[in-house]
Amino acid sequence: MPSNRLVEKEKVATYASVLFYSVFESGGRDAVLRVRDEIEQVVRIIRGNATLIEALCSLAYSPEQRNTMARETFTECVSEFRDMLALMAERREMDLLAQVEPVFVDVLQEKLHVTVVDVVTVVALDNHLRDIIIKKAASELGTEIVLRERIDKSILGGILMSANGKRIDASVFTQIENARTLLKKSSDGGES
Amino acid sequence: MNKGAKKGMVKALAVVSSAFAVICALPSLAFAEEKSGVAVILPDMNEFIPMLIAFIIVLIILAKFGWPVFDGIVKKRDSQIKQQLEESEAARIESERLLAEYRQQLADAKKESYQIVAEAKQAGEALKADITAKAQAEADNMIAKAKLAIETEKKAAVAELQESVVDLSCDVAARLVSSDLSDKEHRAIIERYVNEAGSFNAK
Amino acid sequence: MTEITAKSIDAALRKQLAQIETSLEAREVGVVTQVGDGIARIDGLKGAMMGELLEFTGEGGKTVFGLAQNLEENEVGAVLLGDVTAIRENDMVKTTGRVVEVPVGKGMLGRVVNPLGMPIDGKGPITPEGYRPVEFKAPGVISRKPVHQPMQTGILAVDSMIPIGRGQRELIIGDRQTGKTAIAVDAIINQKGQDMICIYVAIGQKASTVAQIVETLNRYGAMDYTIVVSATASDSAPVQYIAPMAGAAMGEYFMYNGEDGKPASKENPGRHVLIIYDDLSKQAVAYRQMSLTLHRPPGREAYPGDVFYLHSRLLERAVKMNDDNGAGSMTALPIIETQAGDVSAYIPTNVISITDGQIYLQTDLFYQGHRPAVDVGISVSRVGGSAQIKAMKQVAGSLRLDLASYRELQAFTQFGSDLDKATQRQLNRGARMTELLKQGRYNPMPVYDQAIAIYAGNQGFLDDIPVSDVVRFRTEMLEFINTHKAGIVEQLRKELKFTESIETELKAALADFKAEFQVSK
Repeated sequence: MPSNRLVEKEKVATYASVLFYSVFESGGRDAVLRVRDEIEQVVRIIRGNATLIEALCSLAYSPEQRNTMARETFTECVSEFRDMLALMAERREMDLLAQVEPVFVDVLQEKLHVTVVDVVTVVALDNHLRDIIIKKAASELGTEIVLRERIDKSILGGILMSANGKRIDASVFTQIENARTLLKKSSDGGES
Repeated sequence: MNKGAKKGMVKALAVVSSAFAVICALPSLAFAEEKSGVAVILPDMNEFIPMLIAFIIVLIILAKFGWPVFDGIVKKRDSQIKQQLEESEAARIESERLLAEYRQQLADAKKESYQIVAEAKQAGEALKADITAKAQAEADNMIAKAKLAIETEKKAAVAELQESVVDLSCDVAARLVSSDLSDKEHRAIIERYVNEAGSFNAK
Repeated sequence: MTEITAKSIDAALRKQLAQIETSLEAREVGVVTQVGDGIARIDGLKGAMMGELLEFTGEGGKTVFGLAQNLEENEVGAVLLGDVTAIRENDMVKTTGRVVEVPVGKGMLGRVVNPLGMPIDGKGPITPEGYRPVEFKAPGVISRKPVHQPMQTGILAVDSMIPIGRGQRELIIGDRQTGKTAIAVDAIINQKGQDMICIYVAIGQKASTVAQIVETLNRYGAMDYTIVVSATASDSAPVQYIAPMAGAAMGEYFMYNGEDGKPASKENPGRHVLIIYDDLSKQAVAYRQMSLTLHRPPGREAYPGDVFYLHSRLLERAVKMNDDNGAGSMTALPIIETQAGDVSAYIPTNVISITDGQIYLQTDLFYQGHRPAVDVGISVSRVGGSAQIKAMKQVAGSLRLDLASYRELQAFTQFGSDLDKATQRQLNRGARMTELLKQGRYNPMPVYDQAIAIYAGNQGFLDDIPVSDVVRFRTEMLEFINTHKAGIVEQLRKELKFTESIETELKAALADFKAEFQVSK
């Protein structure tokens, strides 16, 4: 597909802003935040599933077929987002979705003045912890903070926070792994 | 005998034979009469005079022709002997000189041979020392290498052991943290980490 | 002596435990969007540096390192330096803020390591004295000095006519199986006792070949001062690509630092290093593969546009430092393999133009039995002449002339008989001189022996020796002179040139020897 870099960029921006406004109109801030999560998930799914993206971009199907296919695949998404995915499939522009994500987040941050911080822990957060985290993030990022909490036993303990492509890894798992590599790197072979 | 001498002999023979011929040509009176007494020993003038004349003729002829020939032969012989004597003298001197020279050379050769033996001894000694030193160095080197190898082996063993200790303790720690901590303790850890964590804005 | 006790391990662990600091800094993370052919495309990592080391966390927490290469608008193209199969799409990538570094230090000597500096000879861990970046800018004009010390290879044909100086870059070029590696290995063996540190970088070679070279170096006691960096044919292209640079970094440590590991200066002289890149054509191929899979536009012979810069910046790191900077040196002997003698291909022409001369090896010569198969007619050394010892310079001039006129006249011999005396004599001399330059492998010759051998040839002592006996004559003659007339060699070593007294003595000695020499039937 011949594509001009600027045209592509413009397309991505249009998709992102249209998606943002339509979702915001219909569902408000919560819907927007939900869509943000959904985009992330869809991008992950697409990346990990070559057959899916192939089918969604395949010329063997007619645009209408691709449209329906996308609709049926992503049934659980917010309807506006589903519409967009269908449109993208129809126009064989599914590969732009990965680029739409950061732009959408940018728009979201700019318009709503909200930063989403993903938090992964082993136990559910209580309000006290939430307060601490929000206070810390808000003071650093200068925006309102929305926490996306997730529970993952594999980090063993501690906390994993990420926002804007940055990640603070304070999980016990990583700590132990770090200690393991450092201790194994025997610099003196045990001679003291 | 040289050619000159031969020639001289031939000449002399010719002279003698010619003188004999003269004598024979004279009338022979000697056997004409018998004598007795003292007359026997006295010269018979009849014989004496012609004999004298013949003798004088022979003498003259011989003096004239024979003597120079004999003289020449003698002189030649004389010079020849003199020359030979001189030659033999020179040869003697030469041989003496050569002898001295040979003696000198012999002495030199002896000296040289001693020197060579000494040098060879020295070289052998040096070579021996060299080889010993080299062997020693090699042996030392080998020992050092072996020691080093043992050391590295040990280090490798220690490292391996250490690794397994680390692995074990880390696994134990992980197990303990995941199963033995209460929710409250987890939350305490989280709180501590959040407070300790660096900024999101940090590069 | 190390005692393996629980106590010592405990102590070591405790010591390192103290060093653990729980850093909870924010780090940039990205996600692998595509992986294959040893490269990964990464979403995110907007702040990655060119050439930065990236940390991939693969399946089961396995860590693989990568090298950021293409920094594009939406993604980063990175090459993987480790287990390619452990990485999948959606894996996490972190920046490390470091460029690729290799461990350096005296502990590396005698070891075989991979391009990341990890030992692969099973002799346990290496204690590095520090780390050096793989990519390092070559020193500028001010801190350099012209090449002036010889780097003896011990090979008669090379040291006499294509002399190499410390800090020079001399290309060894030739078809496969012409003895390129043999020259390099001989050069390493000849550095014994010369206070030289050798680094042999094997790129894209068979592991068996590398093992054999290591074995040879061990046998001749050359491993004590040698580091072997091995990126075999089975290693991934990026690993082969960084191998020469890693070797150069290990060498630079010795050049920029004195014996004590402190930075070199006037009082603390830097060391001398000889580095052999065997061979750069394979590195170029690895780089081509990398570039094509990273979707960089292909140029001539499908090599990327910057393959010249790749080699020029690598070879520019070979240097002779001035006295203020410790006077250390790094001599580079890059090897290039040509296809069917074609030196006008892209990579050979590039490297020929970068280096200070080339040793050209010919297949024909090799099969005619001229070993080393150096074609002295087209091999040159542009700067080595000033590094040659005077005695060698005295004899090498006429050797070169003899060989040149021999080559010129050789065509006439095809026509047979009607040659005048002078021509006959030149042909005779040429044939013997050519024979004189033959030399076996692992048989390096001290430079004074070389000078004496060539001197004997120049003075016509070989002219009536049958050609087949020349090599034997040379060997026995040198043995004779070294044992019986050691004074001459000693004097030559002191004077460094042929004075009149040395010449008369040497001539007498040669005549003596020749009188005793038995020509074989």
